[in-house]
Amino acid sequence: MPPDDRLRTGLRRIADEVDPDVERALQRATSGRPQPRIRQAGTILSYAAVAGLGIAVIGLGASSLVNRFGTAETSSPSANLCSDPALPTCAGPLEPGVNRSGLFVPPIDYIIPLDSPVAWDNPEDRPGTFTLHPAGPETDAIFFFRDVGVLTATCNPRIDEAIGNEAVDIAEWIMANPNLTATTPEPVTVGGLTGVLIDLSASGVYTTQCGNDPGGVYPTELPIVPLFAGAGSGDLTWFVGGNERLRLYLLDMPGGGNLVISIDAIAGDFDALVEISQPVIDSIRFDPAYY
Amino acid sequence: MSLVIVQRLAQTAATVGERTETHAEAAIDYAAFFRAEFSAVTRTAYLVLHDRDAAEDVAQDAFTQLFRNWTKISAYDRPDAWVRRVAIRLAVRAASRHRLLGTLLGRLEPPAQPPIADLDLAAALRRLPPQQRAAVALHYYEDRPLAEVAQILNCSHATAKVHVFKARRRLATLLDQPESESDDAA
Repeated sequence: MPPDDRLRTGLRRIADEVDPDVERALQRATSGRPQPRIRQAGTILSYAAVAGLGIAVIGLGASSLVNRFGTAETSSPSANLCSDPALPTCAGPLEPGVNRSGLFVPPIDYIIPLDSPVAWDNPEDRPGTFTLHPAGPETDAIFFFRDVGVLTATCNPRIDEAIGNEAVDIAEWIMANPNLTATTPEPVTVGGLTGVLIDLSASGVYTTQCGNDPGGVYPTELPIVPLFAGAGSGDLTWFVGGNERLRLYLLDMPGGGNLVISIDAIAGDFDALVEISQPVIDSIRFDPAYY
Repeated sequence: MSLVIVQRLAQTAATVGERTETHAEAAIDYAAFFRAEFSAVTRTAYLVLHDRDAAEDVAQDAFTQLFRNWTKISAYDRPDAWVRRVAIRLAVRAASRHRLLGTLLGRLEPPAQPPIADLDLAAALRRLPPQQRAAVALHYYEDRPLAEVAQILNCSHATAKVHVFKARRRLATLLDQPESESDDAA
């Protein structure tokens, strides 16, 4: 068999093993609910939760969820809706009203507006990373990170120890970085923490093609600029490339370290994402008992 | 099940627009399109991601975006190309992030999955950059000509050709076989 035919046959054999449940997927796509990631243990109950039957009661342990009237309720996290199956502590679909993070430090109280034009979900809640995702592209969301350091612009990026980790240090690094296009930093206060706000995107100057390097660190032919890494748990690496746009809130923790909020639009409309995110950002209160 | 879905589609359409027969017809058209294309898009995404759950998520997101814009997109000549373009972009992005993170952490093992039919080819595919995986999937799995591959990947015809050429050369090396003389991509 010629190699091309063998390739076609092999690809069909591999791909044909994937047999999605089309009717269930159609329900999800048209339900108007957010599309959280489903990982492992795809029980009927977890799919039912995604289909709009409310917050699934299949989690491990319990977390405090405060409803719009301010009274505490006990709610179980939706294990199968979390992006990290090893740490299934996210809240999944969010109800309008006051909500509180579970593991992120410091804990975040925030309000999903009753009149929000889209549904929201929380696919990740870990000590160093927390995500609020409005219905739409999975890549576009509000991301919270703890204790990040900026990265060197290389094919094997590492934290640049020469750059400080205070908000002003990171802002100055961004402004001086020819690989990035950024707005002038503005002083900002979010949830009791102070820092700077800055919008940025890739400038197009960074054209390093790392896709063919032996380490295979950069697999695409799209140059992507290394931004920062860290996030407390040490497993975060953040980049910007292509038409991606970010609004960064670089905030200082009173006891040292930083907290970064990134409104990040890769697949969707950045301005629209900022508009629907702003009321959520404005409602945030970081629990001062934890810093 | 089908009747319920169609009813919900019609209700959803009615909440964002006028209650006309057109919405119901559009909802029915969308459901038919979904049923015809969803599996194929998921399988193509799987060839890029090598993760069944992630492939379904990507396809789901792409079709959700399609649903929200169905009135406009359904009028296009090739709504199937539109939804593939969205899915492929999401898949390439997800694969890139996974690979970047995995490499930086020194653990690039694929997620636990059921056995794959052609292990050698699957392993070789995983060693290609995501953009090349996408080009291979579209050209060899979906049998799309390079012009369509370029359209879906949002690149030039020449770039698509290079993706396919490099991918096939790399696969030939990894699978330890000579390249095809009947080069339909070059």
